[in-house]
Amino acid sequence: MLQSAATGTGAPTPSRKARRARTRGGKAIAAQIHQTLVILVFAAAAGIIGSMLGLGGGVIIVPVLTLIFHLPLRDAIGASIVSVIATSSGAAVAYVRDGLSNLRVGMFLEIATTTGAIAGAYLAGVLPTAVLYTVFGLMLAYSAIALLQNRHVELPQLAASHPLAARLKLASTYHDAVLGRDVHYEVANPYGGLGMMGAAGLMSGLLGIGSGLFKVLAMDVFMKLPLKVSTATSNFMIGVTAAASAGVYFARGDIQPTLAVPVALGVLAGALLGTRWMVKFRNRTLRYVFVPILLATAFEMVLRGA
Amino acid sequence: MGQSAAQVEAGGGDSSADGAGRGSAGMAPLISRALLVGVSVSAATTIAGFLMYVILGGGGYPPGVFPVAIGSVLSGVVAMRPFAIIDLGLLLLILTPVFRVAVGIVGFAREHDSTMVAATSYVMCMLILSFLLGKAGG
Repeated sequence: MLQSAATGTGAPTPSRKARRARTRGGKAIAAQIHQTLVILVFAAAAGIIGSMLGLGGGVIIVPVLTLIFHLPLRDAIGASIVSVIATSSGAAVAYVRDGLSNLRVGMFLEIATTTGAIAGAYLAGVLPTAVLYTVFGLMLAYSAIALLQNRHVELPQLAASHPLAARLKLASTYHDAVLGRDVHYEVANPYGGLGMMGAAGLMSGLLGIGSGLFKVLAMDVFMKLPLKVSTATSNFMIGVTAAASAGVYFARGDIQPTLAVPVALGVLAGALLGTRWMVKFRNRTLRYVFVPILLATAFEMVLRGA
Repeated sequence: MGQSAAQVEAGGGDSSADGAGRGSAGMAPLISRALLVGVSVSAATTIAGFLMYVILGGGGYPPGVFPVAIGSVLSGVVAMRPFAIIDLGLLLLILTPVFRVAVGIVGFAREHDSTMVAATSYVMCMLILSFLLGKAGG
């Protein structure tokens, strides 16, 4: 960053200059506004789904930008990082205020996600990415089975917290708008949760996608939190994981201003809506929405690994 | 927003039992407001930059160029270049989670919860480390 600060602006490589030629001139601006509006709509959809399920929306943003708009994967991933932070910060305003995000669980588990993210960025050139896609894809597919086995469970029944969770006072209460009452929950298996969160961070640092899914699974399957608390706490956390890699993307020039604007604003608007809708869903219904997205991502990752 | 935040503060009164019912519920309004401030300021800046881009018919830089370092973003903002203003908004968005972690450290310190202060401070160190590594490797 310092080097480019000296030159004033990021000096683009010739290839970069070439593929940004479409942003040139006044005539292109009309086309740009049209593209901006369309991306705004898709981003709003990503914000709604992401904020309801605890994901960053990259699962939607990346395919939309690469397949529909034929933008380079680098630019799509840069936009997806912006989308993750916007979903997280936008949704967490409401989820934290309403006591749905468990702040202590989130901040405790961020130890593992940030460590994993940095390790991932370091190991990016060392570890075989193809193998990782397969391993993480299979892990997600396996988790889908675990999630389906719990499909009839509205609230997990856990009598007492794990000793470490008790010491950290992780157990909490949230108000369930559908059940119309306050729900108290205990917290299981903090070490398993930390392990999964480390994997989520590693994935974010290495592959740049899917870490929200892992976070929700870690809290739902391992730590036995109610699904709404898991998705709201995941939303609270994903911004921090993404911020750990956003600086790199920004300095590299992967975050395009004209692309990032509609993505950030659309996602923020979507998150505003999504947080209002999510509380009206049953945990069971949310699970049914979650499983197909989980399976689709697992499938996509295994394909990339193959 | 004002009245809903007030509701929570009224509802969060039960946190006086120091985490007996809702762990650290007293901190929730603080964190929520920190995020709201970050998101609002960033969105307003980004929108202003984009409107300028549309009205002026360009980003204020040669085609394909936009600032990628904090120094060049800030000097671009002083010169009122649209892309620099958009990028300032995006940087504020990226910094919002970092700001939230910092507020968390203060919040846990106020609750005299040394374990969580240590955990949150570790996260802050990791974030700072990631920005330093990004600078070196980027």
